[in-house]
Amino acid sequence: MRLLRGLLEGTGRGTRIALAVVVAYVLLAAFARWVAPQPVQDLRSLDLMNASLPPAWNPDGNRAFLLGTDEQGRDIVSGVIFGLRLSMGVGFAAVALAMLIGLAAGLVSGYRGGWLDALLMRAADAQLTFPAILVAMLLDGVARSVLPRSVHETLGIPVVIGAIALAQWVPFARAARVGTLVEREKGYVQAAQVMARPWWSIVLSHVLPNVMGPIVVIATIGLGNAILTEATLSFLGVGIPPTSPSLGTLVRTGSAYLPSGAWWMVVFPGLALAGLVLAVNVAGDGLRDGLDPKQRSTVS
Amino acid sequence: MSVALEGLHVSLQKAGGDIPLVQDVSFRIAPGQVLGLVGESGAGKSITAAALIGLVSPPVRITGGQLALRERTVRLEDARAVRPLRGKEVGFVPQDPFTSLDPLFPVGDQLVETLRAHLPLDRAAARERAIRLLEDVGLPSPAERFEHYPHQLSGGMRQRVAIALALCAGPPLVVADECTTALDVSTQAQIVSLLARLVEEHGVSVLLITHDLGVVGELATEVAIMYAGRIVERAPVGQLLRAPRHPYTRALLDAVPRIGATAGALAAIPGSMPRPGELPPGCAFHPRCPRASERCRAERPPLEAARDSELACWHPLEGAG
Amino acid sequence: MTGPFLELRGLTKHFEVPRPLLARVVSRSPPAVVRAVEEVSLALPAGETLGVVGESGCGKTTLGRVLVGLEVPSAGEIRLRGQRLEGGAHARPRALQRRIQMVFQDPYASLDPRWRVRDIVTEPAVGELSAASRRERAAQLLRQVGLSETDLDKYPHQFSGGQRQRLAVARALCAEPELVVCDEPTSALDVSVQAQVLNLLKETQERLGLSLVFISHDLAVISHVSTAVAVMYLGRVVEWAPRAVLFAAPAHPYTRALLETIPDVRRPGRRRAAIPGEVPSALSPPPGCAFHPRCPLAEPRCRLERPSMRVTAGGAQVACHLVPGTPVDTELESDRARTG
Repeated sequence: MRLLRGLLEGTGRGTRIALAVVVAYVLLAAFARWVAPQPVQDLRSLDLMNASLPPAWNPDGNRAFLLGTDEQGRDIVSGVIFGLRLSMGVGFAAVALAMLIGLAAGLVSGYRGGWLDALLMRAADAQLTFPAILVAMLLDGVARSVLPRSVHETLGIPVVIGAIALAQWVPFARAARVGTLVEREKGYVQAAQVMARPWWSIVLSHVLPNVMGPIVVIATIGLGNAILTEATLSFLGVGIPPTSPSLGTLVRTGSAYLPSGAWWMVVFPGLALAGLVLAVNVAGDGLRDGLDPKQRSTVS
Repeated sequence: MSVALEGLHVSLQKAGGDIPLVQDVSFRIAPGQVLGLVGESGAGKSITAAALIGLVSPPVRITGGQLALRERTVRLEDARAVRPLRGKEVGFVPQDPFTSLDPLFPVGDQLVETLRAHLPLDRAAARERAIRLLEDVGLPSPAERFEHYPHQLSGGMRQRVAIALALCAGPPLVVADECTTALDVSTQAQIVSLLARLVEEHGVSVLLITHDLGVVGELATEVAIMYAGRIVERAPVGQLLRAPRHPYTRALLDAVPRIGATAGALAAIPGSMPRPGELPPGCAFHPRCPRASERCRAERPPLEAARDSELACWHPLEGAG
Repeated sequence: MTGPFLELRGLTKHFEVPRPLLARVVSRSPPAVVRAVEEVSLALPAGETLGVVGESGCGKTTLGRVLVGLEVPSAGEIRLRGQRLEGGAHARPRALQRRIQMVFQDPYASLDPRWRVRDIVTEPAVGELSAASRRERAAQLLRQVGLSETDLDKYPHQFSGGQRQRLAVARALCAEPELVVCDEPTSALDVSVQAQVLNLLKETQERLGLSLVFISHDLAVISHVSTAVAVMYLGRVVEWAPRAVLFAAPAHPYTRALLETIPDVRRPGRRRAAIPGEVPSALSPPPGCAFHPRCPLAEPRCRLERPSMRVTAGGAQVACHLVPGTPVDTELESDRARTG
């Protein structure tokens, strides 16, 4: 609770608006099943008679489908809501995994040093030479060819999450390592060493909390990136299997109908995606300042 | 021509109201004289230095005060008027020369750059002057050292360069902010000797800011003691150190450990200096003063001038009479 | 008791200057070595304070770090109550290491800004006490250092420098140590606060019978807290004597020069007799006696031969050719006591 209050204290109006938007998105996604007018995953709810309807304010539109429907009669609003859920879920999970890997690597690397440090940092350097999309496509391609189709379908999402995380862990590791190198020289860490506390205990209780500042910044930027990366992968057709479409998939399928004039199928998912990433980045920028306890006291 | 500061006021601007950091600080320093400004952390001495060289930035603001030097008077509230003073009228010797010298340039180049910024000299003339300055501050093999980078010099040498930088444009006032604090005791002694010689030779007025009473005793001609943003006592150095009149000055001197007088506990001052914005009513020192009375708790004693000293105390110590 | 409480014999710590991998493989010359601590032999009886004094680069901080186990000695021995302390803090027997604690110089970096005070001061006991007893122990420790129970739930940034050092002392006392190494604990503090903290250290030492190793560059502070003083220069001990002897009759020229360099606040205007030159780099110490380039009494012999430690008639151990004395017995006192 103290953390939350502290987070909000140091923020400006722009940040709070962005934060509110993100919260709104999250709630929308969390309660998708109840909020969405149409359960789009359930194929029985679809009626081909409702295919390719324009948005409700258009004379050909239908009030029941506020933003129109796609070529299979799926409500755009519902599609966007469920798509958001998937996109945000994958984004959060990928960043969380990247953060976990990066923190582990960076903390150990910075604290223990030696050959382990050299090894991990060279691995990080190697990782950075591959563009994220390429890594994700590589991993996904390998998964497709190695795993039988049914397994690939169920593992589709974890593979994408893993691929994005693999592409994003390095900034976390570097920030954690730098922070650890600084913390290692601090008196309280050395005092703990004199007390002969085990090294992992010192790292978890003293080093980790003090390096989290930059990590959170990277995480918020990373979240926006992860969501976009997933959308890109889905757009390219190597991301999440199309049975449960994410925003990227919707943009992909919708863009095929753009030349025929059905603009609503691509624009609304695109706007939702852009809005989400923007809100996440702005909110993340502002929240970072709220994490430092020293900034909340009076000027000394 | 003496340098005089009149009524310096500096505040921290906050939403709930301004917090005064420095209040009504005034002094006059004649050429060749050194005023030691002594105080503990939070007393306001570093802010006073920052105000004189225009390094005060929001939310800290100068709300009053004027500096008179070389027949000009500058209002310190006016940031644009203060900025050009730096270097030409007010020289600055910082505490840690490593952070004030640019690590990417040889020290000689930095000296030349400063010289040419303030004086009409061409490169060759400036280089000549710089080497002579380096020699003047006691840097061994100055022509060689001219090409050296800051990291190639020791702490004492870097401080000599910093002093050369401060003096190079010939300012009437030099502000030295804890310039010996970061040095070893043997290097400190050398720098102190150097400063004493230079002050005499160049006839500058020096504001020596420090918490070290020993350095003050060696270098200063006059000492002003700051407490909670105000000057509480000012007197010629010998008089202040031997027979201080303000109880805080006395307590400060008694708290310094001395070789030879080692029996029992050090005479520590109980409590701590109040932070800006948390000053008690009346005299700021009264909660820690063994001589405090009702009057001290109610009414702040004004800074009153005597023959060659100033004092703000209702019940001063006897002093030398 | 098997010899003095704390004994150091020939303690040495060298740091190799790191070189890039290629240079390490290709270069034929041996790597440069910083001789931070060189053959230091000292002893401290229980309940007393050893002051270690010297200027920057003399090795006093490294010596402190080797003592508490933050660095592993390159050579030599440390014995606590006759038992050897080998290796770093984690390699030593836990029961022995628990008896040693350290107070650091920087009050702003020695307390974790994200921990509450009650957790900071009881960290040495983490895992051994329940939450309730930890709180109680924290309150007890705070009272011992002159702070109050109301401070238990606060964060370090809410305290001043002097108060933070008190917290550091409280933390050091938590595991009931026998030896506390203080590395310049008051150097970053104001004069009046320094006096408070020094008084606290002295009073605590007397009450609990602690042994202290007090490291400082300030001779006046050292004179106030120590029972014996060791003066270091470029990694070696040049003089080691009981406090009164060292200050009344300093034997080594460096000690004498240092004492003259200290200004006396009571006698303003006196110019200090400056020691010429600067402290040489520990990477390439001068041959023979390391102090000879700056020594007013240097003789040709001083450049050629490093002086050995000798005991003067006054009871001081000095490393100087010009000071007469009987050569120091290099056998460990604890060994001698054991073998009789």
